[in-house]
Amino acid sequence: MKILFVEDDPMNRRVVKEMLTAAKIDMFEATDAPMGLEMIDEQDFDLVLMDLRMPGMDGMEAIRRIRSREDNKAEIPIVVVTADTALNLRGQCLEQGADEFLIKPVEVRALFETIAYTIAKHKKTRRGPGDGGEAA
Amino acid sequence: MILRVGKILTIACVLALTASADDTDIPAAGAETTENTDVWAGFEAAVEAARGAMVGAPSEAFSHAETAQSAIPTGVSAAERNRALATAYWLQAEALNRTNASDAASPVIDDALELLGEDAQTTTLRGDILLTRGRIAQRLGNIQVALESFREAYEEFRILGIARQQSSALQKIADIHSDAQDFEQAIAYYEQSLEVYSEDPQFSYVSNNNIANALRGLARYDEAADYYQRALNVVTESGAPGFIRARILTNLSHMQVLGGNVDAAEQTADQALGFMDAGQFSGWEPFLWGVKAEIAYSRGDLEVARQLIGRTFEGENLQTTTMPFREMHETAYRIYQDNGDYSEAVQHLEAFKRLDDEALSLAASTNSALMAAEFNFANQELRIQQLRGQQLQQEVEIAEARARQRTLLLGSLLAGGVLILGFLTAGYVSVRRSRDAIGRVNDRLNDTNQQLDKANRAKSEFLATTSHEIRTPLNGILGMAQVILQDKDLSPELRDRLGVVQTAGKSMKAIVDDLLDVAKIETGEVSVQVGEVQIRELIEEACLLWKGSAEEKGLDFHLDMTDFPAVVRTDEQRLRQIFFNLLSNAVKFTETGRVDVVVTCESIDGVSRLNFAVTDTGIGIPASEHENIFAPFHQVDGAMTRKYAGTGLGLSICKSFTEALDGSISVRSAPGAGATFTVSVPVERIAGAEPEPDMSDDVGLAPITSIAEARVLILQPDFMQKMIFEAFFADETKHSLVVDSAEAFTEALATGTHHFAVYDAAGEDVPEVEDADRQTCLMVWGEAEKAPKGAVSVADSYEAETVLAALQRQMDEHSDMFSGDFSQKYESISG
Repeated sequence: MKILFVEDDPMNRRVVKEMLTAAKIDMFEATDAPMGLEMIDEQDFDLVLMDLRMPGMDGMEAIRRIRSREDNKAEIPIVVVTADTALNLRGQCLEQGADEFLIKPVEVRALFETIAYTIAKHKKTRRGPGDGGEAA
Repeated sequence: MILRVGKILTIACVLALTASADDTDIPAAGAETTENTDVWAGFEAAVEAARGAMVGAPSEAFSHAETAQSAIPTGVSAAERNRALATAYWLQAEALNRTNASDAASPVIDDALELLGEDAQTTTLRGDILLTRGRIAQRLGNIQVALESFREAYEEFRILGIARQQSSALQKIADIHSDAQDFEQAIAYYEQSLEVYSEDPQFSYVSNNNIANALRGLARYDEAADYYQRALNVVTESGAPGFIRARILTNLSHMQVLGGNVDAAEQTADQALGFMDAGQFSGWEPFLWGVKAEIAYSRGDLEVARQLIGRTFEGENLQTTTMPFREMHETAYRIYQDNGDYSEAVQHLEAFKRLDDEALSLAASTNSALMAAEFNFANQELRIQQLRGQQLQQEVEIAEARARQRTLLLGSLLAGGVLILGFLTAGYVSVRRSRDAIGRVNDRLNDTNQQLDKANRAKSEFLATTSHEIRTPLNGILGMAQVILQDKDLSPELRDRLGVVQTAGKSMKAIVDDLLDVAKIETGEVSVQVGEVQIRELIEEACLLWKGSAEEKGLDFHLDMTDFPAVVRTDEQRLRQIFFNLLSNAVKFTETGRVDVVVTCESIDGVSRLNFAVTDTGIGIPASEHENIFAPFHQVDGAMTRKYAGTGLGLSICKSFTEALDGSISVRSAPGAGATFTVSVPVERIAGAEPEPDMSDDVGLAPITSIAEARVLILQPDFMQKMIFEAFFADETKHSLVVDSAEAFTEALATGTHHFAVYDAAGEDVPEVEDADRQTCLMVWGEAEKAPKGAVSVADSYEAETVLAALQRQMDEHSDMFSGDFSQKYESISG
């Protein structure tokens, strides 16, 4: 499984990478939003973890840009990871198209559960009638 | 001579405007009900008639509104009916208020608002109802309700983008500030109302005139003259009736005489006289005579002044004059006094005092209502003690000033003979002085309020930023500690030391969370989100957590929760925080003994209450401290702060959250005798919400007709994939068990309680499955030859969605077999 983490703080990237590596997930790192958008252009990810407060373009804007893509990457699952606890922020993120919202400090268990839940939900919405493999 | 005639005009002019503005504001109700227009015809006609009669004949309008109420058709939706009923009530209330029956109007308008209560949509009807409610409340002297109503109305119309009504609401708010002599605020609101909407000349000249009056109140005469001129220009351009111009000119004239420009005042007054049209204009002349009397008095022409002021009060009973005459009494008093007509002077001074008292009490009540509303607006509690002290002091000063004024005035009225003149003068001067003092205190009160507001906001912003900055490094500390703790090869010593780091990090996080909660409480951001809560589970979970900590300290921990519902409706997160804080305190402050938790749920008169009581055998709390412990940053003894870590915010948070849930919190304790904290919150019980008994242990398989009823066993050794499978299958099948080892899979399969069992033959941990004695449909992914005999082989990627799709196909193809007697061996269908 491939996950992209868009986060300017190197310590946070390191921590989450260690957590995900333990669960055999390949985590790719983008140090700012434009870099993250570029990587999404070039590669396929199962999920994107997105910080909000970043210099230059912020996470909210990055989410808007991903969601306004024309291809099927517009639907990539996005989980916001932020230290900002402002009221209604969660609602604003979901409104902009984020699937889930996590507050730092992130707990390992919560991180895994959220990723699993978000991917499962994504699979369900993507699943159309008659979709799936062939029985032998 | 501040306020004076200007005040009269404020009221008169605004009333004139309100009447005509409302005339056009009453919408064609029922217009939204397009489905069947015929059934609404009667209702609409009655509403139309009520609307038409509202300004000229309010009592007729009331009858029409009653007709409208009875003409609401049956067989329409509840929402339509409510809207129609609210419209009828609103018109009735408006009509009642216009016939001076504000007392009767008040409950009617509240009913109208309540009818819309369920309807969350913003509508013009709601805004109009709020405007009417505000006017009624204002008439009844319930300034706080009036202010809230106008503010809400403004908000409704702002969302709807209706500028005219926004402007109307702002003018009403400005009027209230003006009545409270809070002229600066009044000007700000009038100006805002002009900015929002000035297309209608009526709105424009009323605002301009009232701004001028407020400026005159502040003795800013030059600016005031400017605004009067603007008002006059608008009136001239719009061709409004002459009497409007006469009113504004009277105001201007009065201001000029106040400013000492007697000649200009005379000219303006004569101009005003020229615009008077006896046919159209009644009830206004006395005030113009009053201003002219003041002018004559200023010129020293006592005889003319005496005649003019006589005309002002012609036919008036001096004991029952109304507020607009207040300033005229003062003018009369001075004129009669200088003339030596002491008995007349005394009568007017008495009348002036009577009205002045009324004005003062209006200003005082308006002022406190304004203050209360300001704070309600932000829902703030005044926690900054120093500022609060200043405020109290100022309130005392107001009271004292009023008392002084009364004593002096009363004394002067009691005195007789020649001395009366001296006393009258002294009494009058003291009235003026007290009034000035009250004005100054009011100004300071406003300043204090603004400072409070600013201080509170700055504090919240600071806390929010600090919280963000602390959370970021905490993420590193706690995250890395967790990562290392997950390493199975970690030595016990290292694990223990790292546990300390983690605990420290967690308590730091808890403190930051507490601080943030307090900041949110203080800025009124506590929101309650009611939902279905697995309450028994929540309580057991919280107790389990603290039971561990208690037992580590050598304390007994006991939970008593008998006869308790499993699910109720309340706010889960708030309740969890309340329980956690209380349990945390009990364990923290108890060195030896026990912690007992008793939870009950009682229903009295149909209202269920959840009672949560925590009793400890800890240090206890002296009775004198029982109130204080619920205030933020409070620990009973400063020395204890060092011994028992914590912000002292826990109980204050508990109290705020409990109150947010309409509950109560109390303490029973004495030093050394432990403490019992009890929280009682109303909850909603859900009928039939008891969970179905878990059937997972039942042996044997029921026939099924769809995947949703199936029991499925899945092997997924990958940690993350297993979680995804679990999340994916959670609501797809009746029961799904995802295991991560071949051993667990084989074991589960042997129970024979699954309709399907699946695994990936290409996976890292492949089970060895006996193909005999199997009543489960076994499906194996990967190459067909790797599948055991009798299994269905699936060549596809092994993912949650492809597994479900394959199960679905299998189900469809062999529906007969799955819906039949499932006890026979599955082998027979798979061949």
